[in-house]
Amino acid sequence: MTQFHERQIRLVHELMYQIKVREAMTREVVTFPPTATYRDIQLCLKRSRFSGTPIVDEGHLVGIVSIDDIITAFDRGCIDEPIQLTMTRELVTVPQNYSVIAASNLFHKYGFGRLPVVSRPGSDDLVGIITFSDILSHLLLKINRIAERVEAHERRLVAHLDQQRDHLHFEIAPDGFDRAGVAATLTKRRLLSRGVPAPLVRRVAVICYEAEMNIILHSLGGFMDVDLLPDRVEVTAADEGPGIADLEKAMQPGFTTANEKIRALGFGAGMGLPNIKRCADQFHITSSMEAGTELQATVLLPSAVPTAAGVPASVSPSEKEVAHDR
Amino acid sequence: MTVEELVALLGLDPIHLEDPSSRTVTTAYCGDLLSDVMAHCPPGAVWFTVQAHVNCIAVAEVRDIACVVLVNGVSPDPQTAARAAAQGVTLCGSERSSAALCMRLSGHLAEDAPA
Repeated sequence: MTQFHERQIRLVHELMYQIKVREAMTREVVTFPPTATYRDIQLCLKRSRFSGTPIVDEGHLVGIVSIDDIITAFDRGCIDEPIQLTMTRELVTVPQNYSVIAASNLFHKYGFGRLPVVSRPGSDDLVGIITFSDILSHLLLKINRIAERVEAHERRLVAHLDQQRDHLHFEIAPDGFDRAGVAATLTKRRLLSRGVPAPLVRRVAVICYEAEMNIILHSLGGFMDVDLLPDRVEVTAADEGPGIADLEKAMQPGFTTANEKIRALGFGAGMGLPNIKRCADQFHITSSMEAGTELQATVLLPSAVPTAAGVPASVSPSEKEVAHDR
Repeated sequence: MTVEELVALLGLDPIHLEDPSSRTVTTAYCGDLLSDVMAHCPPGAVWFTVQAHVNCIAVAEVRDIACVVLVNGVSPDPQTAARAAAQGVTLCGSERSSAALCMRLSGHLAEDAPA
Protein backbone atom coordinates (compact mmCIF):
# COMPACT_ATOMS: atom_id res chain seq x y z
CA MET A 1 0.00 0.00 0.00
CA THR A 2 1.28 3.42 -0.87
CA GLN A 3 1.99 5.97 1.81
CA PHE A 4 -0.72 8.15 0.34
CA HIS A 5 -3.35 5.48 0.87
CA GLU A 6 -2.13 4.77 4.37
CA ARG A 7 -2.50 8.40 5.15
CA GLN A 8 -6.00 8.49 3.73
CA ILE A 9 -7.02 5.52 5.88
CA ARG A 10 -5.47 7.04 8.97
CA LEU A 11 -7.50 10.16 8.34
CA VAL A 12 -10.72 8.16 8.00
CA HIS A 13 -9.93 6.31 11.22
CA GLU A 14 -9.27 9.54 13.06
CA LEU A 15 -12.56 10.88 11.82
CA MET A 16 -14.39 7.72 12.86
CA TYR A 17 -12.96 8.00 16.35
CA GLN A 18 -14.44 11.47 16.58
CA ILE A 19 -17.93 10.37 15.54
CA LYS A 20 -20.12 9.04 18.35
CA VAL A 21 -22.66 6.32 17.71
CA ARG A 22 -25.41 8.71 18.79
CA GLU A 23 -24.54 11.11 15.94
CA ALA A 24 -24.75 8.48 13.22
CA MET A 25 -27.57 6.23 14.47
CA THR A 26 -31.20 6.23 13.37
CA ARG A 27 -33.47 7.32 16.22
CA GLU A 28 -36.84 6.39 14.80
CA VAL A 29 -36.78 2.65 15.32
CA VAL A 30 -39.65 0.32 14.48
CA THR A 31 -39.83 -2.22 17.30
CA PHE A 32 -42.01 -5.23 18.05
CA PRO A 33 -43.12 -6.79 21.35
CA PRO A 34 -42.05 -10.41 22.10
CA THR A 35 -45.65 -11.47 21.50
CA ALA A 36 -45.48 -10.54 17.78
CA THR A 37 -45.15 -13.39 15.29
CA TYR A 38 -42.37 -13.83 12.76
CA ARG A 39 -44.94 -13.19 10.05
CA ASP A 40 -45.91 -9.81 11.59
CA ILE A 41 -42.25 -8.82 11.43
CA GLN A 42 -41.75 -10.28 7.96
CA LEU A 43 -44.63 -8.18 6.58
CA CYS A 44 -43.28 -5.05 8.24
CA LEU A 45 -39.72 -5.61 7.01
CA LYS A 46 -41.01 -6.27 3.50
CA ARG A 47 -42.98 -3.01 3.58
CA SER A 48 -40.31 -0.82 5.08
CA ARG A 49 -37.29 -2.57 3.51
CA PHE A 50 -35.52 -2.89 6.87
CA SER A 51 -33.33 -5.91 7.38
CA GLY A 52 -33.99 -6.35 11.08
CA THR A 53 -35.95 -5.01 14.02
CA PRO A 54 -35.35 -4.87 17.78
CA ILE A 55 -37.76 -6.56 20.15
CA VAL A 56 -38.80 -4.45 23.13
CA ASP A 57 -40.69 -5.69 26.15
CA GLU A 58 -42.18 -2.95 28.34
CA GLY A 59 -39.37 -0.55 27.61
CA HIS A 60 -36.59 -3.14 27.82
CA LEU A 61 -34.65 -4.32 24.82
CA VAL A 62 -34.88 -8.09 24.83
CA GLY A 63 -33.83 -9.24 21.36
CA ILE A 64 -33.49 -8.56 17.68
CA VAL A 65 -35.05 -10.32 14.70
CA SER A 66 -33.40 -10.20 11.30
CA ILE A 67 -34.39 -11.47 7.87
CA ASP A 68 -32.12 -14.47 8.56
CA ASP A 69 -34.20 -15.34 11.62
CA ILE A 70 -37.40 -15.11 9.55
CA ILE A 71 -36.01 -17.43 6.88
CA THR A 72 -35.04 -19.88 9.63
CA ALA A 73 -38.57 -19.62 11.05
CA PHE A 74 -40.01 -20.45 7.64
CA ASP A 75 -37.67 -23.39 7.50
CA ARG A 76 -38.76 -24.68 10.87
CA GLY A 77 -42.43 -23.97 10.21
CA CYS A 78 -42.81 -21.59 13.14
CA ILE A 79 -43.49 -18.48 11.07
CA ASP A 80 -46.87 -17.82 12.73
CA GLU A 81 -45.64 -18.40 16.27
CA PRO A 82 -44.81 -15.60 18.71
CA ILE A 83 -41.14 -14.85 18.45
CA GLN A 84 -40.50 -15.03 22.20
CA LEU A 85 -40.57 -18.82 22.00
CA THR A 86 -37.53 -19.11 19.73
CA MET A 87 -35.67 -15.80 19.46
CA THR A 88 -32.14 -15.54 20.83
CA ARG A 89 -31.78 -13.39 23.87
CA GLU A 90 -28.03 -13.06 23.72
CA LEU A 91 -27.89 -9.55 22.42
CA VAL A 92 -24.93 -7.54 21.14
CA THR A 93 -25.56 -3.84 21.70
CA VAL A 94 -23.49 -0.69 21.46
CA PRO A 95 -23.78 2.26 23.87
CA GLN A 96 -24.64 5.61 22.25
CA ASN A 97 -21.59 7.43 23.63
CA TYR A 98 -19.12 4.98 22.01
CA SER A 99 -17.26 5.92 18.89
CA VAL A 100 -18.55 4.43 15.65
CA ILE A 101 -15.23 2.55 15.48
CA ALA A 102 -16.61 0.33 18.27
CA ALA A 103 -19.75 -0.32 16.22
CA SER A 104 -17.68 -0.99 13.11
CA ASN A 105 -15.54 -3.51 15.05
CA LEU A 106 -18.66 -5.29 16.31
CA PHE A 107 -20.08 -5.52 12.77
CA HIS A 108 -16.82 -7.03 11.71
CA LYS A 109 -16.57 -9.45 14.63
CA TYR A 110 -20.13 -10.85 14.51
CA GLY A 111 -21.00 -10.30 10.86
CA PHE A 112 -24.11 -8.32 11.85
CA GLY A 113 -25.72 -5.76 9.57
CA ARG A 114 -27.16 -3.68 12.39
CA LEU A 115 -26.76 -3.08 16.11
CA PRO A 116 -29.27 -1.82 18.66
CA VAL A 117 -27.99 1.29 20.41
CA VAL A 118 -28.51 1.57 24.17
CA SER A 119 -28.35 4.64 26.40
CA ARG A 120 -25.23 3.48 28.29
CA PRO A 121 -23.02 0.38 28.69
CA GLY A 122 -24.90 -2.59 30.17
CA SER A 123 -28.28 -0.91 29.75
CA ASP A 124 -31.26 -2.40 27.91
CA ASP A 125 -32.76 1.04 27.25
CA LEU A 126 -33.05 1.23 23.43
CA VAL A 127 -32.32 4.68 21.95
CA GLY A 128 -31.66 3.85 18.27
CA ILE A 129 -30.26 1.49 15.73
CA ILE A 130 -27.06 1.75 13.71
CA THR A 131 -26.01 0.12 10.43
CA PHE A 132 -22.72 0.23 8.61
CA SER A 133 -24.28 2.45 5.98
CA ASP A 134 -25.33 4.94 8.71
CA ILE A 135 -21.65 5.19 9.64
CA LEU A 136 -20.59 5.62 6.02
CA SER A 137 -23.18 8.34 5.36
CA HIS A 138 -22.17 10.21 8.46
CA LEU A 139 -18.50 9.88 7.58
CA LEU A 140 -19.14 11.28 4.09
CA LEU A 141 -21.14 14.12 5.61
CA LYS A 142 -18.27 14.92 7.94
CA ILE A 143 -15.67 14.77 5.15
CA ASN A 144 -17.89 16.98 3.05
CA ARG A 145 -18.11 19.53 5.85
CA ILE A 146 -14.32 19.51 6.24
CA ALA A 147 -13.93 20.01 2.49
CA GLU A 148 -16.34 22.94 2.60
CA ARG A 149 -14.45 24.49 5.49
CA VAL A 150 -11.12 24.10 3.68
CA GLU A 151 -12.63 25.57 0.51
CA ALA A 152 -14.09 28.55 2.38
CA HIS A 153 -10.74 29.10 4.11
CA GLU A 154 -8.91 29.06 0.77
CA ARG A 155 -11.42 31.48 -0.73
CA ARG A 156 -10.86 33.85 2.17
CA LEU A 157 -7.10 33.48 1.77
CA VAL A 158 -7.21 34.24 -1.94
CA ALA A 159 -9.52 37.21 -1.37
CA HIS A 160 -7.13 38.49 1.27
CA LEU A 161 -4.14 38.13 -1.07
CA ASP A 162 -6.02 39.92 -3.83
CA GLN A 163 -6.79 42.72 -1.44
CA GLN A 164 -3.14 42.90 -0.38
CA ARG A 165 -2.05 43.16 -3.98
CA ASP A 166 -4.28 46.17 -4.48
CA HIS A 167 -3.53 47.80 -1.17
CA LEU A 168 -0.43 49.81 -0.36
CA HIS A 169 0.49 51.18 3.03
CA PHE A 170 3.26 53.64 3.79
CA GLU A 171 4.50 54.84 7.16
CA ILE A 172 5.81 58.37 6.74
CA ALA A 173 8.32 59.89 9.16
CA PRO A 174 8.50 63.65 9.77
CA ASP A 175 11.54 65.38 8.21
CA GLY A 176 12.11 62.32 6.03
CA PHE A 177 13.08 64.47 3.03
CA ASP A 178 15.39 61.86 1.64
CA ARG A 179 12.68 59.26 1.35
CA ALA A 180 10.16 61.71 -0.08
CA GLY A 181 8.61 60.51 -3.29
CA VAL A 182 9.15 56.84 -2.51
CA ALA A 183 5.47 56.26 -1.75
CA ALA A 184 4.43 58.11 -4.92
CA THR A 185 6.91 56.17 -7.05
CA LEU A 186 5.93 52.78 -5.65
CA THR A 187 2.24 53.59 -6.05
CA LYS A 188 2.81 54.70 -9.62
CA ARG A 189 4.60 51.47 -10.55
CA ARG A 190 1.99 49.29 -8.88
CA LEU A 191 -0.91 51.03 -10.61
CA LEU A 192 0.81 50.89 -14.01
CA SER A 193 1.47 47.17 -13.51
CA ARG A 194 -2.22 46.68 -12.70
CA GLY A 195 -3.20 48.27 -16.01
CA VAL A 196 -4.38 51.69 -14.82
CA PRO A 197 -4.00 54.21 -17.71
CA ALA A 198 -0.87 56.41 -17.42
CA PRO A 199 -2.62 59.83 -17.20
CA LEU A 200 -4.76 58.59 -14.29
CA VAL A 201 -1.69 57.09 -12.64
CA ARG A 202 0.05 60.48 -12.90
CA ARG A 203 -2.85 62.15 -11.11
CA VAL A 204 -2.74 59.55 -8.32
CA ALA A 205 1.06 59.93 -8.12
CA VAL A 206 0.78 63.71 -7.74
CA ILE A 207 -1.80 63.25 -4.98
CA CYS A 208 0.48 60.76 -3.22
CA TYR A 209 3.54 62.97 -3.58
CA GLU A 210 1.86 66.08 -2.23
CA ALA A 211 0.18 64.20 0.61
CA GLU A 212 3.48 62.57 1.48
CA MET A 213 5.33 65.90 1.40
CA ASN A 214 2.67 67.50 3.61
CA ILE A 215 3.19 64.83 6.23
CA ILE A 216 6.98 65.14 5.98
CA LEU A 217 7.06 68.95 6.05
CA HIS A 218 4.24 69.87 8.37
CA SER A 219 3.41 66.99 10.72
CA LEU A 220 4.76 64.81 13.49
CA GLY A 221 4.52 61.80 11.16
CA GLY A 222 1.70 59.74 9.73
CA PHE A 223 0.76 57.19 7.14
CA MET A 224 -0.73 56.88 3.70
CA ASP A 225 -2.92 54.10 2.28
CA VAL A 226 -3.58 53.56 -1.40
CA ASP A 227 -6.40 51.22 -2.43
CA LEU A 228 -6.95 50.14 -6.00
CA LEU A 229 -10.65 49.28 -6.32
CA PRO A 230 -12.44 48.12 -9.47
CA ASP A 231 -13.86 51.56 -10.20
CA ARG A 232 -11.50 53.97 -8.43
CA VAL A 233 -8.21 54.58 -6.64
CA GLU A 234 -8.51 55.87 -3.09
CA VAL A 235 -5.69 57.65 -1.31
CA THR A 236 -6.01 58.18 2.43
CA ALA A 237 -3.35 60.19 4.23
CA ALA A 238 -3.44 60.86 7.94
CA ASP A 239 -0.98 62.45 10.33
CA GLU A 240 -0.59 62.76 14.09
CA GLY A 241 -0.90 66.52 14.13
CA PRO A 242 -0.41 69.32 14.97
CA GLY A 243 -3.33 69.99 12.59
CA ILE A 244 -4.21 72.83 10.23
CA ALA A 245 -5.42 75.98 12.00
CA ASP A 246 -7.39 77.40 9.07
CA LEU A 247 -8.38 74.82 6.46
CA GLU A 248 -10.03 77.37 4.18
CA LYS A 249 -6.81 79.36 3.97
CA ALA A 250 -4.72 76.22 3.50
CA MET A 251 -6.80 75.32 0.47
CA GLN A 252 -6.00 78.67 -1.23
CA PRO A 253 -3.16 78.40 -3.78
CA GLY A 254 -0.07 80.23 -2.53
CA PHE A 255 -0.96 80.14 1.15
CA THR A 256 1.84 78.53 3.10
CA THR A 257 3.12 78.16 6.64
CA ALA A 258 6.43 76.73 5.45
CA ASN A 259 9.62 78.14 6.95
CA GLU A 260 12.72 79.37 5.10
CA LYS A 261 14.44 76.03 5.25
CA ILE A 262 11.52 74.29 3.62
CA ARG A 263 11.19 76.98 0.95
CA ALA A 264 14.91 76.86 0.14
CA LEU A 265 14.42 73.22 -0.75
CA GLY A 266 11.80 74.16 -3.31
CA PHE A 267 8.82 73.24 -1.19
CA GLY A 268 6.29 75.38 0.60
CA ALA A 269 4.87 77.05 -2.49
CA GLY A 270 1.44 76.76 -0.92
CA MET A 271 0.24 74.48 -3.69
CA GLY A 272 0.16 71.06 -2.08
CA LEU A 273 -3.49 70.85 -1.06
CA PRO A 274 -4.80 72.74 -4.13
CA ASN A 275 -2.74 70.34 -6.28
CA ILE A 276 -4.31 67.32 -4.59
CA LYS A 277 -7.80 68.75 -5.00
CA ARG A 278 -7.16 69.49 -8.66
CA CYS A 279 -6.03 65.94 -9.39
CA ALA A 280 -8.83 64.21 -7.47
CA ASP A 281 -12.37 63.48 -8.62
CA GLN A 282 -13.46 63.45 -5.00
CA PHE A 283 -11.62 65.21 -2.23
CA HIS A 284 -12.29 65.38 1.47
CA ILE A 285 -10.15 66.79 4.26
CA THR A 286 -10.66 67.16 7.99
CA SER A 287 -8.25 68.63 10.47
CA SER A 288 -8.25 69.36 14.15
CA MET A 289 -5.55 70.74 16.38
CA GLU A 290 -6.02 67.69 18.65
CA ALA A 291 -6.26 64.75 16.24
CA GLY A 292 -4.26 65.96 13.25
CA THR A 293 -5.20 65.97 9.61
CA GLU A 294 -6.83 63.30 7.48
CA LEU A 295 -7.41 63.65 3.78
CA GLN A 296 -9.11 61.36 1.32
CA ALA A 297 -8.72 61.75 -2.41
CA THR A 298 -10.38 59.55 -5.02
CA VAL A 299 -9.51 59.18 -8.69
CA LEU A 300 -12.23 57.44 -10.72
CA LEU A 301 -11.13 54.82 -13.22
CA PRO A 302 -12.42 54.89 -16.83
CA SER A 303 -15.02 52.17 -16.32
CA ALA A 304 -16.59 54.27 -13.57
CA VAL A 305 -16.36 57.66 -15.28
CA PRO A 306 -19.93 58.72 -16.07
CA THR A 307 -20.38 59.00 -19.82
CA ALA A 308 -21.69 62.21 -21.34
CA ALA A 309 -25.16 62.19 -22.93
CA GLY A 310 -25.10 60.57 -26.36
CA VAL A 311 -21.62 59.14 -25.92
CA PRO A 312 -21.71 55.34 -25.90
CA ALA A 313 -20.35 53.64 -22.81
CA SER A 314 -17.81 51.76 -24.94
CA VAL A 315 -15.84 54.90 -25.82
CA SER A 316 -12.17 53.95 -26.18
CA PRO A 317 -9.99 54.32 -23.08
CA SER A 318 -7.64 56.77 -24.77
CA GLU A 319 -10.46 59.26 -25.37
CA LYS A 320 -11.50 59.09 -21.73
CA GLU A 321 -7.92 59.51 -20.55
CA VAL A 322 -7.57 62.70 -22.53
CA ALA A 323 -10.85 64.00 -21.23
CA HIS A 324 -9.83 63.44 -17.65
CA ASP A 325 -6.13 64.30 -17.69
CA ARG A 326 -6.25 67.76 -16.23
CA MET B 1 13.38 65.39 -30.40
CA THR B 2 15.21 62.67 -28.49
CA VAL B 3 17.10 63.26 -25.26
CA GLU B 4 20.30 62.55 -27.19
CA GLU B 5 19.51 65.33 -29.68
CA LEU B 6 18.57 67.67 -26.81
CA VAL B 7 21.88 67.09 -25.06
CA ALA B 8 23.74 67.82 -28.30
CA LEU B 9 21.66 70.91 -29.17
CA LEU B 10 22.02 72.58 -25.76
CA GLY B 11 25.53 71.28 -25.01
CA LEU B 12 24.39 69.72 -21.72
CA ASP B 13 26.68 67.84 -19.33
CA PRO B 14 25.14 64.38 -18.86
CA ILE B 15 25.00 63.12 -15.26
CA HIS B 16 22.74 60.15 -15.92
CA LEU B 17 21.23 59.32 -19.30
CA GLU B 18 18.33 56.86 -19.49
CA ASP B 19 17.70 55.45 -22.92
CA PRO B 20 18.71 58.77 -24.63
CA SER B 21 18.27 57.65 -28.22
CA SER B 22 14.63 56.65 -27.84
CA ARG B 23 13.21 58.84 -25.04
CA THR B 24 11.40 61.77 -26.65
CA VAL B 25 11.30 65.36 -25.41
CA THR B 26 8.07 67.06 -26.47
CA THR B 27 8.05 70.31 -24.50
CA ALA B 28 9.90 72.32 -21.85
CA TYR B 29 9.22 73.71 -18.39
CA CYS B 30 11.05 76.06 -16.04
CA GLY B 31 10.42 76.02 -12.29
CA ASP B 32 12.16 75.91 -8.93
CA LEU B 33 9.12 75.38 -6.75
CA LEU B 34 8.61 71.64 -6.68
CA SER B 35 4.86 71.91 -6.00
CA ASP B 36 4.50 74.20 -8.99
CA VAL B 37 6.40 71.77 -11.20
CA MET B 38 4.35 68.95 -9.75
CA ALA B 39 1.19 70.83 -10.69
CA HIS B 40 2.07 72.16 -14.13
CA CYS B 41 5.03 70.39 -15.73
CA PRO B 42 3.70 68.37 -18.70
CA PRO B 43 4.82 64.75 -19.12
CA GLY B 44 7.65 64.33 -21.59
CA ALA B 45 9.12 67.78 -20.83
CA VAL B 46 12.69 68.89 -20.34
CA TRP B 47 12.66 70.62 -16.95
CA PHE B 48 15.09 73.46 -16.20
CA THR B 49 15.68 74.08 -12.49
CA VAL B 50 18.19 75.16 -9.87
CA GLN B 51 16.79 72.55 -7.44
CA ALA B 52 19.58 70.01 -6.98
CA HIS B 53 17.85 68.36 -4.02
CA VAL B 54 17.10 64.66 -4.26
CA ASN B 55 13.38 65.44 -4.34
CA CYS B 56 13.56 66.78 -7.88
CA ILE B 57 14.12 63.19 -9.00
CA ALA B 58 10.91 62.15 -7.28
CA VAL B 59 9.06 64.97 -9.02
CA ALA B 60 10.53 63.96 -12.38
CA GLU B 61 9.52 60.37 -11.77
CA VAL B 62 5.96 61.26 -10.75
CA ARG B 63 5.43 63.67 -13.66
CA ASP B 64 7.14 61.46 -16.29
CA ILE B 65 9.63 64.22 -17.06
CA ALA B 66 11.95 63.26 -19.95
CA CYS B 67 15.01 65.17 -18.80
CA VAL B 68 15.97 67.20 -15.72
CA VAL B 69 18.52 69.96 -16.35
CA LEU B 70 20.28 71.63 -13.40
CA VAL B 71 21.05 75.13 -14.66
CA ASN B 72 23.43 77.97 -13.62
CA GLY B 73 26.24 75.48 -12.95
CA VAL B 74 24.44 73.99 -9.96
CA SER B 75 25.91 70.59 -9.18
CA PRO B 76 23.65 67.83 -7.90
CA ASP B 77 23.82 66.43 -4.37
CA PRO B 78 25.59 63.04 -4.57
CA GLN B 79 22.32 61.51 -3.44
CA THR B 80 20.46 63.17 -6.31
CA ALA B 81 22.75 61.68 -8.96
CA ALA B 82 22.49 58.28 -7.32
CA ARG B 83 18.69 58.48 -7.14
CA ALA B 84 18.51 59.54 -10.81
CA ALA B 85 20.46 56.45 -11.84
CA ALA B 86 18.42 54.21 -9.53
CA GLN B 87 15.05 55.54 -10.71
CA GLY B 88 16.02 55.78 -14.37
CA VAL B 89 15.54 59.54 -14.57
CA THR B 90 17.70 61.46 -17.07
CA LEU B 91 19.71 64.19 -15.30
CA CYS B 92 22.04 66.74 -16.90
CA GLY B 93 23.83 69.94 -15.91
CA SER B 94 24.54 73.22 -17.67
CA GLU B 95 26.51 76.39 -16.93
CA ARG B 96 23.85 78.47 -18.70
CA SER B 97 20.61 79.90 -17.30
CA SER B 98 17.09 78.56 -17.83
CA ALA B 99 16.28 81.54 -20.03
CA ALA B 100 19.37 81.09 -22.23
CA LEU B 101 18.66 77.40 -22.67
CA CYS B 102 14.98 78.01 -23.50
CA MET B 103 15.92 80.61 -26.11
CA ARG B 104 18.32 78.16 -27.70
CA LEU B 105 15.63 75.47 -27.68
CA SER B 106 12.94 77.74 -29.12
CA GLY B 107 11.42 76.42 -32.35
CA HIS B 108 13.04 73.00 -32.04
CA LEU B 109 10.29 71.24 -30.09
CA ALA B 110 7.14 69.73 -31.51
CA GLU B 111 4.82 71.75 -29.29
CA ASP B 112 4.90 74.74 -27.01
CA ALA B 113 4.67 74.06 -23.32
CA PRO B 114 1.08 74.46 -22.16
CA ALA B 115 0.55 76.33 -18.92
